Amino acid sequence: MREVPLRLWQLIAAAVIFFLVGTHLIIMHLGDILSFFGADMGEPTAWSSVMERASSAWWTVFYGIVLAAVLYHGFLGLRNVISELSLSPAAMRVINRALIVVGIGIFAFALYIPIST
Amino acid sequence: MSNNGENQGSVSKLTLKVQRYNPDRDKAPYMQEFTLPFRKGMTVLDGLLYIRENIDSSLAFRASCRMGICGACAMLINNLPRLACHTPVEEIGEFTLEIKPLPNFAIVKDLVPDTSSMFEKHASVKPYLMRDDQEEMEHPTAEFVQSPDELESYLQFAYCIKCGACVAACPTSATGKLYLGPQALTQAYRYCGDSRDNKSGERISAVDPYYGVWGCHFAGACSQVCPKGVDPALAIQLLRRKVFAQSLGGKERTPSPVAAPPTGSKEKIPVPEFTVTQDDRS
Amino acid sequence: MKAQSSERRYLENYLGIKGWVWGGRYRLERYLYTLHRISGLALLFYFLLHIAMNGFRLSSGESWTSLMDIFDTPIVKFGEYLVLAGFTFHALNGLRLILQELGYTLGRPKPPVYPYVDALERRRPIVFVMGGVIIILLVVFIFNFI
Repeated sequence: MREVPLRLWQLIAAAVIFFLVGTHLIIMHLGDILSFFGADMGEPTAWSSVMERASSAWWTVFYGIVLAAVLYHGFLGLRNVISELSLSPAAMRVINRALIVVGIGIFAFALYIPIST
Repeated sequence: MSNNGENQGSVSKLTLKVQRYNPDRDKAPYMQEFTLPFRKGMTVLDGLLYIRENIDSSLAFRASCRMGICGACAMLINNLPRLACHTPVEEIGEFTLEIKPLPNFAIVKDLVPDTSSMFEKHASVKPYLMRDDQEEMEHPTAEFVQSPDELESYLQFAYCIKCGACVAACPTSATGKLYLGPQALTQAYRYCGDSRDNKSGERISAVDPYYGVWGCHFAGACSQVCPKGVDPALAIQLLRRKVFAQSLGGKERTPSPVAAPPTGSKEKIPVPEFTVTQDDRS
Repeated sequence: MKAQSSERRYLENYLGIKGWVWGGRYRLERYLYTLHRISGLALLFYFLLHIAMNGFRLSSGESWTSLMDIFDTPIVKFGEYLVLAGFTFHALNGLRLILQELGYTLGRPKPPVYPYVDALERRRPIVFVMGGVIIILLVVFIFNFI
């Protein structure tokens, strides 16, 4: 199988992560700096604001894209690191499949959280 | 001799800590210390030759040309892969040197690495010109046209002497035994970037697996240690660009044509009288 | 003896995983590579932890709020800062890597004339600018954590 498409999507996922996770981190962790610039987001980890985001379709789509991008980029990166350890092709096949299954499982579970609450 | 020593300040002795390993006798490599006279302008290879001639004739290392052409004497000198013949002791600035065989290769004996894996990988990327016109390749009628600009776009990568210093420096080669390594990937680009070649697709499929061009993470250590200024890191990024371009529908280039036959000829210079011609001999 | 020598297994001398971290006397980019790898794996680990933590929301609002109360300590705050720092480094260094690994900003091959200067060395200012931006951002972020 050709490796190029995997790596091309990893770069595209990186660009998506750069902007979306960047936004997420600014909102979640840099509240004081944001309010200094006049954008008060309230307490982002309070139960009410968490629920507010979870009930919004926009935020759910946002989290869905972030999840897919980060899981793909991260798990492919992990697989690339493992692939440099000179494991046998059979072991690599097992690891590749395991990472795909685990990744899809985590994606489904994590997306279920904002949808169900 | 003593005068030279005085010119160097107080330094007149050189200490080489050399890693020894004899597969017939030793279970594991060990370090052995040699003290020898220091002479101005001395290279590390001079030191090793002195040891072999005067102290311990059983010390094994590979060296041939003594001038950075053959690439046989690459070794790990003070934790940096370099050519022993190309490394004056004064350039390092220390007079106690630690010399080990190149890492990321197997050890044959003492300082001799087994570089056969590198040559196998080098062969696997098809490092030769490939063209559609097989007839012209086998029975050439004239040279292929190449402009100086086209030459310069790959010339730097053609200076590789296959010493293995880049592979020893590469962090991916430290674990990835399958990884093609900076040497082979650079040679893959050297031919992909050659205007006379038009089958880079075959080479690209050879470097596309995960152990090919994707194993490079641009640590740049290979370019730092290359004794010939080949810059493998640059070549691998350019190769990667070609791989991406090809996957996005990039076309193979039209290879440079065969040079036109010369029109008209200059007047021949007369053969000097003292030259023995074909007729005289028969 | 001859026949034996072809069968002899030479002593393997791979640096192994140690070679990823410890590089010897190499320059900056070699260690940026190490840091990129470590920060990437750490961020992936944090991301999975983060999802597991969010799983608490499934049971009840109280369990979420009590979890947030437990996390309101200086050590966790410092951990959050590390995540932010790791992301900032991985993102900006990754941006540089994407550009350079696609062959941009590296310039054309040059004939090797002694003393050899390779493409990374010629474009060292890019790394300095990137490092400067990262350091400024990390210093600014500190104000949010004190």
